[in-house]
Order: sequence, then structure tokens, then C-alpha cells
Amino acid sequence: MDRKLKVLITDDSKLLRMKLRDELEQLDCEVVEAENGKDAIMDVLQSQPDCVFLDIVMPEVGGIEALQVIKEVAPDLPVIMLSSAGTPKKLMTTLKMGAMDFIQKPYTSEQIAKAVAAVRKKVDADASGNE
Amino acid sequence: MPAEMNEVDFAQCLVNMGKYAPAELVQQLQEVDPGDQEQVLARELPDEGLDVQPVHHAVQQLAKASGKEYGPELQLYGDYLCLFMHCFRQDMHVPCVLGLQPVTIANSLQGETYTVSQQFSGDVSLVGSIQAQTPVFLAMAEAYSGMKFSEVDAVAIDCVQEFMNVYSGLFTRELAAREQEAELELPRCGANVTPDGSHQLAARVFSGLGVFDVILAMDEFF
Repeated sequence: MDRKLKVLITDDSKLLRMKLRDELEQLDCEVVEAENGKDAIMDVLQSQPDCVFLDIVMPEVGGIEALQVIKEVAPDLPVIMLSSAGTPKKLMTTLKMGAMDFIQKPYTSEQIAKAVAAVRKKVDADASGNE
Repeated sequence: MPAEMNEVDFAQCLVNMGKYAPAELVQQLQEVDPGDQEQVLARELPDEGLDVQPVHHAVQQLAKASGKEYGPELQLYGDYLCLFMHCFRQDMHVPCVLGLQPVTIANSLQGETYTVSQQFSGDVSLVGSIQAQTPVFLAMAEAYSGMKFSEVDAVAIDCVQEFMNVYSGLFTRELAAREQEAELELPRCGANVTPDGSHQLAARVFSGLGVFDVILAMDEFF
């Protein structure tokens, strides 16, 4: 793809957002941030990111509720759950709801790079399919 | 618990055996290269009869010394502390051991303290918390984030809360492996909190960042 991948990070932890932003910018991504699920839904509509990294335990609107809404308004948008609460039940629930992947905190740089590569591949495939 | 079975806490073994006072052992370990610490500790342990659950045994000793009555939650407290000690060592990059003396009003942390806590609901009822004096709290925030802090601001609190959130998440996975589904609530923070929870147990942790308490209870205490 010619342009930078636009990634929305949604996490109530400023530390997490800062560290993940650094990782993503090194992977040549443009980053936007949201502190909770409510803001993430607004950002999906306004900023139109190429993918979303979504925490689960957040104030106002949690990640699972936000995922449900995001999938209603943007069914094809890749959403990667990035949460400490990675139980098998949560994994199954979110994948069934349409999440592309689930990364358990603490994450590694390799996991983020792999997820970004998968999103790029999907975005490229979607773009070539639309041509 | 898998964490303790796979990685026996040698430092805690030595403290439980009475070979070292907790502060003395931590101080000695800080003078050893982190990569060599396990080997140095192993040399001091007997060839036979290794305690494979030293953290649980320390928790049982603390509970007994406190004079309070505990039920099945004591096993859960031991499981939690076992993972906590492992994560603290790994993420803060310093040695740590549990003290064996109960935390009382007489020896409680003095001066300004900060407490972060996180509740588990669902199949288990548990609140885990860290209470530390300001300098130790800041040291934790710095060790976890790699950032520098001159005061306990929102970002410093966020750093300690995120550390807690990550190991709490790992604990929910350990619980799930035992078919116990726990929901994590949002971490909380308070200044100068006097914890008073149901079936509360406080454990003093001696670490390379300083002394602090881990307080466990069955319900939220502030």
C-alpha cells in the first residue's frame, strides 16, 4: 500500500498507549488514540482507521461492548483485542464477535508486527479486490 | 500453581528456612548479576527436601501469626502472591521476597502512602492491592515504565495500575485453567488509605525498590 496504515489504539492506560504508539510508528503506521470504548466508536466513525487495537477493561464503555458496536458500523474493519484479560472464554467470545486477533498483555514487539502485517495484507487484498 | 511448580522461589525458600532476613537477602541479591541470582540462591539450598511452594507456606505462616481465621481464600491468596512475586521480579527487574512477620498497626507503613487495587469478580471474590510509601511507589512506576517521576501524578499512578492490570490478567488465565472464570474490574488508586477488608491479609514485600505491602481481601476495602 502507498499510504501509511492508520491505527486506532484504544486503552485507558496512557503508558500502554505511549509504548504501543512507539511500536506502531516504527512499523510506519499513523496512530490515533482513544481512552475508552465510547471514544473508540466515535474515532472509528470520524477518523476511519485501517484497524483498531482494543483493550477490554476500560471505563465508560468496555472493549467487548465497543467491539459489538464497531462491528455493526464497520463490519470489515480489523479489530485486534489487546488485553490482560485473555481467558479462553474472552478469546472465544471476541473472535466469534468478529475480532481479527487477540493479543494477551504483556505483548511482544513480534506480536504487534505480526498483527500489523496481517492487517496490511488484508487492506491490500481489499484494495486490489476493489480495483 | 503452575508458576510456582515451574519456577520455585529459591529466595523465599531461604527466608522461610531462616537462613536470611528478607531485607538482608534482597540486599545481597542486588550485588549479584541478575542472571546469576538463581544459581547463587540454589547453592545455599539443601540437596534434598526442597520446598516447592515456599510462597504458599510463607502466606500460611503469615496467616497463623496474624491470629485471624482464614478459610479457602488462603489458598487463593497464596496463588495470587506467587504470581505477583514472579511478575514483580520479572517486570521491575529487582529481587523480592515476602517477610514472615504480620503487618500490624505498629509496623504499618508510615507517612504518605498510595494504594492501587483491582477487584476480581465472577467465580472468585478477591481484591489485590499494593500499598507503598511515596518514594517506593514512584520507584515502581519508574522501574515498570522506564520513565522518570518527581511526584505521584496521573501517569505514575497509571504505570503502577497497568503493572497490576497485566499480572491480574495473567491471574485470571491461571484461574480459567482451573475452570474459574473471573472478571477484572478497573484498577483503583487512593492516597493514605487504611485498608479494612473482609478476610484481609497483608504481606510485607522486601524488594530492590524498597519495602511495601500487598494487601488481599475478599471485597473492596476503600
